[in-house]
Amino acid sequence: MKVTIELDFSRLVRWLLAAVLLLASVSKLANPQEFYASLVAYQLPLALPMVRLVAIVLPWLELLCGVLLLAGGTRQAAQAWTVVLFTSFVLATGQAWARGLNISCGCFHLDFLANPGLVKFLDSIPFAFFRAALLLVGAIYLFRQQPLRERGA
Amino acid sequence: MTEANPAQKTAAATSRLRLWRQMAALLFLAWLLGALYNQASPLGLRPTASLAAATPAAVTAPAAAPAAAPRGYSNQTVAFSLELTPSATSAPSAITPATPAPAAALPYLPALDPAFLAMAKTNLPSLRWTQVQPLLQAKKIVLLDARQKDRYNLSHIPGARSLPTMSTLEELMAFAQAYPKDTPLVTYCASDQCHTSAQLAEALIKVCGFTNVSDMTGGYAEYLIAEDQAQPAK
Repeated sequence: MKVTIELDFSRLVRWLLAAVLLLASVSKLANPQEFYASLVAYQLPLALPMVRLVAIVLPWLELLCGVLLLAGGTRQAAQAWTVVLFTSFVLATGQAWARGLNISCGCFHLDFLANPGLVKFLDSIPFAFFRAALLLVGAIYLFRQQPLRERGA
Repeated sequence: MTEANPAQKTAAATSRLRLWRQMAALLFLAWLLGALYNQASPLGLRPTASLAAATPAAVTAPAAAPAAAPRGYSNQTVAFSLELTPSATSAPSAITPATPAPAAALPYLPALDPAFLAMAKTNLPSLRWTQVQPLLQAKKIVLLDARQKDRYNLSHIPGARSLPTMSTLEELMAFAQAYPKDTPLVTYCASDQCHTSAQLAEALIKVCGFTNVSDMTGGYAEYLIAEDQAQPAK
């Protein structure tokens, strides 16, 4: 029997984005108050009730997008939201970096890593900025795979 | 370039509209799940709560000499069993319960029981950052960061010492032996939405026998907000 493995770049990107979103959402759902504090630390020009609302909605939006990217269904909506999410991550981390805020990105909970130096690096704002920018490129690539008339189908 | 015919334009518009609808539905579903999850979870966020709404309990400044000026704490703290730890048996005698203590036999760190947490949160003296800041600068209190060590390492309130709520008993007792029992201690965690600082405060009282423990309920988030407001606009 001949088995052919087709290297599908868009599928790899989709799985990567889904994995990142799922990991991020689970980390945030497990520590909602930590995530809220992380958001506050960004010092965004948002009222605190709005920050709290974001802290409530964002992890679930990430989870839904991650699942839908993997499973299909309303995949185009999930892809569109993924673009929106990573755009906002780039903007949030970018402004924090530009302002020199020495904060944790709050993206993941990396306690399972034994190396504190590695955790600090992975949680740092500059690394989070570049990671989000790279993933945003992937999300845009994925979203543009299908012409608009096919989106939402 | 070829011009799209009206039928293609209509199909594209319909698809775009469908996409927007699906995105809106996804957002609504995320909001619904988030609201339900956080409402159900004892550690969840509440949409209506706010730092400003958190009313600090009436408490005298911890800087006041504990022996000379009895603090509200001694009359308020009723929930702490004092017989748990042999090494802590002498110190808590200064604590006078005002109402019956619950049948104790609690572990050295309490379980995440919502009712218990709510009680601990209510009975502990609550301080705001504006109260804590001058005392910290004057070195009249020991500020304790109850968050996990990695969070503390990333950033913390300057002058604060890390003592995670999930510290081992040995770590807790090592801390206790380094300070007199009447040392004014103030605990904090991530924000007004967390309970770990109250848990740590309770452990410090019950296990270590400290008599002057307060909780900065606004947590690290309150400090960040205050620092942000204190900075001149760039």
